[in-house]
Amino acid sequence: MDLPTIIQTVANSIVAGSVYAVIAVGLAMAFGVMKMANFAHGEFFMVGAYTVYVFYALMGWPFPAAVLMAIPVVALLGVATERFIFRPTRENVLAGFMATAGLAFIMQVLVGQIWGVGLMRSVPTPYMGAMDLAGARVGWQRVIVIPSAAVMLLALWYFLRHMKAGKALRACAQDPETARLQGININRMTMLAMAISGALAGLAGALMAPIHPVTPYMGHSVILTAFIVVVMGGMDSIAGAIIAAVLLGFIHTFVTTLSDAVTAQMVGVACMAVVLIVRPQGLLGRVKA
Amino acid sequence: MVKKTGISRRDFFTKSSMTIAAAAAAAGGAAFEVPSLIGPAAAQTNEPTGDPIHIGFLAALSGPDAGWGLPGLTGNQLFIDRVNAEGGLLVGNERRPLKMFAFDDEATGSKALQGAKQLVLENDVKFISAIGGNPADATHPYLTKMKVIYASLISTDIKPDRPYLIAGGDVTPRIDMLRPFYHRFVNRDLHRWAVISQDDTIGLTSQAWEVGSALSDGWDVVYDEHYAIETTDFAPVVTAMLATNPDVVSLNLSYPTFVVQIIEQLYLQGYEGLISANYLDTESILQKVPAEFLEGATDSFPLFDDPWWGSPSWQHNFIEDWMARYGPGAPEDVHREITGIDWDHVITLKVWAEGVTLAGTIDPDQVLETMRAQEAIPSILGPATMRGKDMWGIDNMISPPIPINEVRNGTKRVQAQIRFEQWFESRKDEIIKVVEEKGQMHYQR
Amino acid sequence: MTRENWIFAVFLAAVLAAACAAPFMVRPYSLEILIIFMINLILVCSYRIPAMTGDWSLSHVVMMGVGAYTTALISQQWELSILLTVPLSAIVAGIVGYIIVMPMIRTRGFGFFIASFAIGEFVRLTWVKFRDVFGGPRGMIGIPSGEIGAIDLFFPVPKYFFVLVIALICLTIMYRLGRSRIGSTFTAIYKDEELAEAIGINVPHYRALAFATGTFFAGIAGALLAHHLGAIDPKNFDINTMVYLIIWIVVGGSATFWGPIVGLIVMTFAFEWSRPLLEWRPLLFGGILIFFLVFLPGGLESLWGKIRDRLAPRGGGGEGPASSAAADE
Repeated sequence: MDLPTIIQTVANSIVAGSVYAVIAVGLAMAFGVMKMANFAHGEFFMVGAYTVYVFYALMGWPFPAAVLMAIPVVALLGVATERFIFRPTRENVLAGFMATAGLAFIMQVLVGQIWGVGLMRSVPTPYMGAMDLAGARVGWQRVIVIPSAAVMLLALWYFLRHMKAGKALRACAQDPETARLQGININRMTMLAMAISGALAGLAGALMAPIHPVTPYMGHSVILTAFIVVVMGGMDSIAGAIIAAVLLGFIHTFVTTLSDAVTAQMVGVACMAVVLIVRPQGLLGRVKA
Repeated sequence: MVKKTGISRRDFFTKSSMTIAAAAAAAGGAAFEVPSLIGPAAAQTNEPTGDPIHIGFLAALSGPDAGWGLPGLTGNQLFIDRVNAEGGLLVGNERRPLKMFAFDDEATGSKALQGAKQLVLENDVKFISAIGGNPADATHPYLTKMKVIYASLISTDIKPDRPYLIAGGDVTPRIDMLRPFYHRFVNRDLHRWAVISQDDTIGLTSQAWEVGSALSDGWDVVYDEHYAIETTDFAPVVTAMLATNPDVVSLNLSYPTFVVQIIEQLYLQGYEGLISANYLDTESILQKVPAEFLEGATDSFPLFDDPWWGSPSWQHNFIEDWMARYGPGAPEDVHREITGIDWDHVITLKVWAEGVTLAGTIDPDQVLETMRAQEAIPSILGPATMRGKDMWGIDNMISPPIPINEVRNGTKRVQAQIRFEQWFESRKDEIIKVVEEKGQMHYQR
Repeated sequence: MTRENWIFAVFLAAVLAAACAAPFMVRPYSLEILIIFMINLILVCSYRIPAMTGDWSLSHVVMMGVGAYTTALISQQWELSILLTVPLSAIVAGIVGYIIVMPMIRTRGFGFFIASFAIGEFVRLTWVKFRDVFGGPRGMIGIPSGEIGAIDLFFPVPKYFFVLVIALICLTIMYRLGRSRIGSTFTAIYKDEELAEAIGINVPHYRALAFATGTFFAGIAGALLAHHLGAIDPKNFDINTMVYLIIWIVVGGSATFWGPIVGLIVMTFAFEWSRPLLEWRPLLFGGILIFFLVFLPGGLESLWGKIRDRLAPRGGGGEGPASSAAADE
C-alpha cells in the first residue's frame, strides 16, 4: 500500500470508527441499564437518516437543524420502545431482544410505505467538496462526522459524570437493587437510557444520511457491526464500546481496502468470536457474578 | 472537467454500423413508430370475444429488492389496459383480454418457486414478468415443464436448457458492450478504459462482455475489478481505480445506489475523465455532485420525454399516460417519481404480445418460433429481433436498438441508437474468447 | 393407557390418515404448501432440542443451510441417491454444529444468543465469499430432485409422500428423545444448571450434544429443501428467515413437544392468508411477535394449559404450564 492510500484509509477508518462509536455507545448504554438489548437499534439509525431526508431534502431546513431534529424524534421512539416492549419483558432479556426484532420489521414497513421503497432516497450533500490531507482526499461531509461524534460523546460523558440524572443512571447500571433502595426510580432511568440510546443512534443516522444510501433497510448494515462492537467492548461498558468501535473501524476499513467488504465482515465476526472465547466479558466489561 | 475530442456527429453516423432507421431517428424519431399489430390501427372491435389470458408478475414486491419489481406493475398495467381497451389481445380471430396476477417472491428462490406454482396452478398464467437471478434458477425446471414463458430482466439468465426463458428488458450486457465502441469514435484520443461493478453474477458476466468488447475496439483496459455487493464505503475502491490513471471510468451494471456513491467519490477524489454506466439516475447523482462534473457522462436508459422520440410517440404517450394515472395528484398516485423499472418489464411483455398476435396462438413454442423469425418486432425501444445464440446458446434474447445518452446540462439526451447484431458479428470471436477466459460463458457457469 | 392418551392416539391416527389422503383431495398448489410445511416441521421441532437445555440460538437456519449446501455440493460431485444425500448432509450439519457451539459453550442466555448470531453470519458469509466453491451470492443451481428406484421425485405426489415419511421418522425420533433419559438430562440442565453440575452431569457435554442433535435435524430439513428447490442461495438462510422461525416457536410455545408444531401451523395459515396484504405483511408478523412476547410469552400451548386448568383443576396448587416442561404431552 502506498503512502497516499494509507493516509486515505486511515482517514476513512477514523470516520468509520466515529460512526460505530456513536451507534455502539447507545446500544451499550441501553444494555447496561437493565439489560435492554435492542435489535431495532439499526432501525433507530435509519429513522434518524429519514428525519434528515424529510426536514432537509424535502422541507428545505438547514442541514444542522435537520440533524438536531433527529434527537427528539428517535429519543421518543426509544422511550416508546422501553415502555411497551422492554418494560413488560424486563425479566427476560431474550424476549425483549426478539420483540425488538419484530419492531424492526414494523419500522421498515412503515417507513417504506410512507416514503416509498424505490431504489433509494437521495439526500443532497450539504457540504460538497473534499479536504486535502497530504495526498488523501476526504469529503467534507465525512470529515464533519468526526468532531460531531466527539461532541456527542463528550456531552454524554459530562452528563453521566456531572449531572444528577446521569449519576443516577450510572448507579442504576452498576447495581439496580441498591439504586432502588436509594430511591432512584428504575422506570424513569430505563426510559432515560432508551431516550439517550435512541438519540445517539438517530444522530448517527442523521449525519450519515448524505453519505449512506437512504433506504428502509439501511439498518441491516449497521446492526451486526454494532453488536460486534458492543460484545467486544463489554456488553455494558461505554468506554469499552468506544475503544472497540475505533478498533473495528480500523480493522473493517483496512481489510476492505486490502481485500473486500465480505472478508472485512468475516474478520470482524471472527474477532468477536475470539473475544467471546478468551474473555467473554469483553475488553472492559464486568464479570457477571 | 470532461475531456472530449473526436469526430463530429455526422462523421460518426457515416462510419459506425448504425441502421438507416436509426439515422432517420436522429433526424426526428419517426422511424421507430413501426406499425404495431396491437396499436389502434388494427382495432376492429371493443368487445372481448375470447377467454382471458392471464399474465403473472413474479418479483420482489416488498423488502430490499422491491425497487426492481414493484414499480414494474404500473407499466405492465398501463400496457394491459391499453390492449384491453381494444377488446383484448388479437389471437387468431379472437380478442382475448389480459389480466395480471402479482406474487411477491422477495427475490428468494424458494418463494419464487412457490409463486410460480401458485401462478400456474391457481391462476393459469401463460407468461410471467420477473426480475430474474436466483428466482429464475429456482423456477425454471418447473416452468419449463409447464411450458410457461418467463421473462427475466437479465440476459445472463438465458441458457440453452431453458427454452421458455426470454430476457432483454434490461438490455445488459449489450449496452455495456457498445459504449466502448461509441466512445472509440467520439473520443478518438482516449485509450485507457477502467471498469468496475459489483461482484454478483450480473456484474461478473456483463463486465466480462464489456471488457471483451473494449479490447476488441482497441482500448487498453487498465482496471478490471469487482467490489463486494456489501460495500458501503467506496472511497478505497475508487482510490485503487484512479491509481491506474484511466481516461474513461465505466461502472458497467453497478446498481443505481452504487453508481451514485462511486460518482461522488470520483468527484471528491478529483477525477477529470469521462464517466460511462449502464444506468445513471441523474436526479440522485446531481444531489451529490455539481452538474458540470456530470457533463458528457453516458448511459443507456433513455428518458421517455426525450425529444429524440418525437411527438406523438409510444414513449411520449407512455409518460403522459403514466403521469395521468400514477403521477402526483393522479387517481392511483404512487407517491414516487417514474423510474426506469416502470417500463422495463413492458419491453418483453409487449414483444411477447406482438409475437402472440403474429403467431395467431398462445402456444409458447410457436410464439417463440415466430418471434425468432421476425426481422423487426415492434418494441418500446424500437424494432427488436430475437437473437443471442452466440452469447447464450439459444436465441432467446430480445434485442432492440441500444440508445446511448449523454448528460447535457444535467439531463440525459439520446445521442445515437446502435444496432447490436451487425457490430457484434464482426467481433464476436474476439469477444467470446475473452469472456471464456474469464469463465463467464453460459456453459461455464 | 389413560383415557386422555387414547383420545390423543385416535387424533394422531386421524391426522395421519388425512395426511395420506391429502394429495388426492387438495388443490395442486396446496400440495406445494404442505411439502414446505413438512420441511419446516422438521426444522421447528429440531430447534427445540437445544432449547430444552436453555440454549436459544440465532444460527439454526444457517445450519439448515449447511445441510442444503452439503446436498448441493455432493450432488455436483457424485451421483448419489437421495437416500444417501439426506443423511450425509445431516451428519455434516451435526458436525458443523458441534464445532461452532464449542466457542460459545462458556456463554449462556443472551451472550449465547448473540454469539450464535455472529458465528452463524460467519458461516453464511463463507458461502458468499468463496464463490468458486459455494457459488457466492448467486448460490448453487442444478440440484436434482432425486429418485427412488423408478419413482421420480420431481413430481409433487411422490415427493409429498417421501417428505412425509422422512418427517414422520424425524419427528418420532425427536419425540422419543424428548422423553428419554437424555431428554430429562437436558431439561434438568435448563431448570437448575448448578444442581445438575453438582450431581455430576457434564453440562457442557450435554449442551453440545443437544446443539449438535438440533443441527443434525436442521440439516435434514435443509437437504430436503435443496432437493425440492433445485437451487439455493445464501438469502434463503438469512436472519430474516431466522426471525420467522423464532416467531413460530414464540407463537406456539416451546415447553412441550407440540408447542412449536402448533406455532408453525398457525403461522403457516397466517402467512398464506395474509398474502393480499403485500408489502404490509412483515409489519403484521412483527406485531404478532411483539404481542406474544409481551402478553403470552409461553405461546399458545400455555393458553391450552390455562384452559385445561380451568376446566379440570388439578389438585395440589396451581401448576403453571411453564413449569410443566418435563411433563411432555
